[in-house]
Amino acid sequence: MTPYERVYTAIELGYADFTPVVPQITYATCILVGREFEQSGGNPKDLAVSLIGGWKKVGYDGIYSGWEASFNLLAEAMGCKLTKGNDGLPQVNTHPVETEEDISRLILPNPWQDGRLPFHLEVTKLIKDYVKDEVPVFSYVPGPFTLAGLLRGSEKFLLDILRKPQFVKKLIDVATEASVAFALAKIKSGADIIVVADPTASSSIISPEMFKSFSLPAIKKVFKSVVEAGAVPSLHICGNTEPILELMVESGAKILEIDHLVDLRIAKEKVGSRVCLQGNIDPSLELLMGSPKEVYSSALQCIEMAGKQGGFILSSGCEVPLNTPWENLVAMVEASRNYPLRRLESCVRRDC
Amino acid sequence: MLEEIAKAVVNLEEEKVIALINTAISKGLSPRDIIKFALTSGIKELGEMYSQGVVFIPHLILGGEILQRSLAILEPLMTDKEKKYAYSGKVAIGTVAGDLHDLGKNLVVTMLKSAGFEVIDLGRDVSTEQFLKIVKEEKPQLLCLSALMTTTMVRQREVIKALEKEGLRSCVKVLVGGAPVSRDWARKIGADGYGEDAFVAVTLAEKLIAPSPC
Repeated sequence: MTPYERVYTAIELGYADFTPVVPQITYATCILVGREFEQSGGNPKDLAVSLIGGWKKVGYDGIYSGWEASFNLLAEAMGCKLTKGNDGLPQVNTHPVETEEDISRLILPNPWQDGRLPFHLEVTKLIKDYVKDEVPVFSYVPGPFTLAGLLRGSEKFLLDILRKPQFVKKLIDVATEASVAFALAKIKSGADIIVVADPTASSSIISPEMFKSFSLPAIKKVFKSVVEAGAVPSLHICGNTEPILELMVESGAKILEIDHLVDLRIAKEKVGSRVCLQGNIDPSLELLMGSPKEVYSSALQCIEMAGKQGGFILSSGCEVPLNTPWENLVAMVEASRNYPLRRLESCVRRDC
Repeated sequence: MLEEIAKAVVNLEEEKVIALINTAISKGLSPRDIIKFALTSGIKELGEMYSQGVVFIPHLILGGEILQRSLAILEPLMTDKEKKYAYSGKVAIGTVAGDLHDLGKNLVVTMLKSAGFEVIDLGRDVSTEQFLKIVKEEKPQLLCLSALMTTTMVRQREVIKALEKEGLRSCVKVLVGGAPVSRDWARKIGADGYGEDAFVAVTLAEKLIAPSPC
């Protein structure tokens, strides 16, 4: 069975030979293949070598084609300025939207031409050409709500929700168009699974009512286009999402990436019969700082909680940090591969 | 009167708060009392409502805006001595290196100010060296480290290690917070406290504050 079949069986809520393992790892792969982070990322081939190399070394079941956050890339193409943080990754630092006129002045980027979008489409294509249909290619696009927040500046944007809701909706509409165009270009470049990342829509930040009226309608639009283009829609929202799990399913997502702050057992209970869950080993405390043994036992626990009957992809609870030891990622794969036998063993003692 | 102001703060009635403050001043109420008994208690109640999941970050930001506007009216009416007297401690705060998010940090700053702390806001993307420098030079009693990404929270550990190495660890209490941060994480990296949200952070700050031994 190929990793592709393994993942697609899980998406259809089934269980193939093993629980698929797909950690959310992008730029941290450079360390896995023995490259310095500072010297990585110069050209598309360089990124593809790390992203493919990480998969080859660890043997997980899917590849994320990404490097820095997708919402930063799209925000940059729409007029935000990025600054390199002290850790070397660029982040949004200026916000072009102050007034209603600024919204109508926003230029919808052409993903094949503008900013660094073509660069990243090329990375997706290089990976797809390499793995073909053996391994599914995951790729992020921004949640329109989060992108709109970057265009406006998140603090002002969140205030606008209370003070100027119509202004916010207008801005989200433009962001939605941009996200759709980026998603379609990524699918054309070879992405199998489009992951909408909408961290600002987390229940750690906005209320479920706000999620329902501002973020959700936009995600639905993106997913509609994603499905029409033949790709699988997946939804990533960081932080606490327990209050909005049902609404997240309503978006049309076939996969929900569950943060480590959410109790996987509760998520499985609430929505696990309707959507494939992906998660949720603590990225810092366990993957970065824990031992392979600790990761292995957490991974088994995750599978036990959400993957017994399938419909589950074992993953990190958010993005894998730089310098994560590769042995810890291997421990995730081992847990998945050993699980069926372990389960059988436990059935020797008691009937099940 | 003070209760009425506090209630308007909780209800986020911006213009009403400002109007009531102006009335209170004209009636001769002291700015200190207005800050302490009306604004602070209103903001605190909002914070509690956030912890209970009744209000969310946009509401807290609006509460912060109302507070800033109110302080802009009240502070010029206070003498330097009054201000000094009002301070309950000195706090340095910043978002760690590589992290340009400052939403959570800004909320904590607002809450700390409303609780009467003198706050040195270092901003975002603050390097470990900058944190060390401020501890040496300004001698805050409390250092708050915010991280909003799983990829940057490791810097909190780095700052604590650097403080230890420089022999400064006992000079300052360290509080960590941010969306991906957990109590376990705080314990593992040797922080003195974990602020689950902005409100908890301030309650903790009040508890932890003590004269710096350095």
